[in-house]
Amino acid sequence: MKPSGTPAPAAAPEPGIDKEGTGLPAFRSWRAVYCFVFAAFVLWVVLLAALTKAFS
Amino acid sequence: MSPLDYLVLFGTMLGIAAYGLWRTRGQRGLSGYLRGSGTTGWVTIGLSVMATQASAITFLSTPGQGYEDGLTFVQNYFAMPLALIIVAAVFLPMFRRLNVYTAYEFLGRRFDAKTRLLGAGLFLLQRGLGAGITIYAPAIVLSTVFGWPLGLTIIFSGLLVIIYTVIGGNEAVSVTQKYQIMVIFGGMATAFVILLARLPAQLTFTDALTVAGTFHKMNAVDFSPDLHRRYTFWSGMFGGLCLLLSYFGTDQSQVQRYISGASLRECKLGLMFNAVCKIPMQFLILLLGVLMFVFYQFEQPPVFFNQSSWQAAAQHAGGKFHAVEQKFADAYLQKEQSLRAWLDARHRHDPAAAAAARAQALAAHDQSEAIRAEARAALREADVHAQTNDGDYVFITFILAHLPHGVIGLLVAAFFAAALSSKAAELSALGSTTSVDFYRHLLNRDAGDAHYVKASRWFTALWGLVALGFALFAHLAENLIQAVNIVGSVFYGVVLGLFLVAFFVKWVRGTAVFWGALLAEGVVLYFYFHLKNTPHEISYLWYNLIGCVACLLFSVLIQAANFKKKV
Repeated sequence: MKPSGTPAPAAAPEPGIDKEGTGLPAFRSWRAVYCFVFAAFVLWVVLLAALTKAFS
Repeated sequence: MSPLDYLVLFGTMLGIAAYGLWRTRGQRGLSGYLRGSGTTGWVTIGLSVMATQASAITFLSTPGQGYEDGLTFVQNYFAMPLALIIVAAVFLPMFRRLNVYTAYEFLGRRFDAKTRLLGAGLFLLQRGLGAGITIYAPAIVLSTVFGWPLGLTIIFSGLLVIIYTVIGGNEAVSVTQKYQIMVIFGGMATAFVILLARLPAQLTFTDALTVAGTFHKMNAVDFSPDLHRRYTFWSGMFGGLCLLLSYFGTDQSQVQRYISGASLRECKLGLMFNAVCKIPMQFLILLLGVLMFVFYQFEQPPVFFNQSSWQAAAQHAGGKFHAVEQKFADAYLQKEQSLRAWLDARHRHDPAAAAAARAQALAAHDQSEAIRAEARAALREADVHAQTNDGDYVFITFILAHLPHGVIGLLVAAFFAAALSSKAAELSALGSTTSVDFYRHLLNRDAGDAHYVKASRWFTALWGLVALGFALFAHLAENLIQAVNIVGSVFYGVVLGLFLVAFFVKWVRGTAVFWGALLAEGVVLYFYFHLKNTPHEISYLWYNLIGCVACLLFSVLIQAANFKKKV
């Protein structure tokens, strides 16, 4: 067993791992993809809240 | 079920398993066995992640939950987009960069061996104990309804999944899951369309939702801050975030699905696919249940949906059971007439008549529910061990009574596909964690690749047999099933705390986080058992948040105290 409290060095990184693009025509950066996903979530909550209000 | 249904069922199940084995033939090396060929695209990853999370009970019970409680359960998934964004942005790049086989290997590299074993041990404990439930739960429902021998149902589905998971490894799991989830979607969509078509002709879709809303089935979002309510926006967002972050970021059955992608891009897109699709998917499954509720306002439902259990008990105390059935039929007729009168008044734009008929329908519904409670009490009186919750039987009762042959086979195939897909991911993860984090790490460090592949196969098979054994004898230990569900909800938060410290609190070391996690687990267990069955009992989702925060806090405090001592 390794001694406690000694972080081991990381393995060799996969080449270019952090620079990989999204490959999506509409969203060039991952930040844009995450914003889209979050916006879709907000839209769903708003729609469900409206559904609750309309039929309850 | 007709011969056509059996043909669809067996053809689908065996065909997908055979295809998975054929696609992964000639696989070589430990990496190939545990992570696949490295060519998996985002569609396969996305569907595989979805299939792993959705067990047969998701598709059998969730419509029943929609029938009973309406849309409120959808809030349980509200945190999923946020959780998956965090996993994609923080967890996934780290796992890929370190080129790990299991999530717990990462803990070993960041902290130390004992913290890695703690994480892997907690995973094996919660998944290993519950290993049989994913097979047992659907098998008990389907065998009860169809009169199949329970043992044979469990052995057939269990052996099928063991064979293709042991032989084909992780890639066979992903490949089969892709087609299994397609069968599931196909079956559920067909059921949805047929249900819509079978609603009364004069009932518009808006009418159907109005009827559901009248009986409180359309409450999808509840912003109440009440901690005792099981599903609210807040419990879903905060408790649910910890639960889902822990499940997707640290549970090997999920990590193994998405680290196997051809590239980081494919893995991330697979996760984002789930982040966008999961809430609408759960909503539609619950809506199916809500529409089934509306359907059964115009078509008399059984007083108790588990008819096998009801009829077995009725044989011994027939008079009493028939009297309950008669009372229920009378109340149903009154409710149906009131609802039709209400809809007529609405269409005539007569608000006074509509309000009167609506009030009558609500009163008749309350009466029906009281008779259902009476039926459950009669059942319990006849057999103290009788299962009085019939929610799991609502959807299958609808399928058998109202869907055409062929489609029945497709739906039953969908339930088995869901059971097999989540079981396969679980077995593969249990096998790889035992093999990589325990066997290779502790017992045999220097063997060749072929030896570890063989060991992984044996461990996967062993966990499969444990699951099969548990499923076969689960009826003897109903309490054990409850205990297993508790284990899942009380451990996830602490495991997440371990990983969050690893990612975000760089100055905390292994010993501090190890003891911090153990202390945090003690706190969670204390709160759980102290508050259980009391008026102060809180929704289980909150234990994930408590465990995670306690682990973070204790780890930081222990590390700080340790640092001061050294200074």
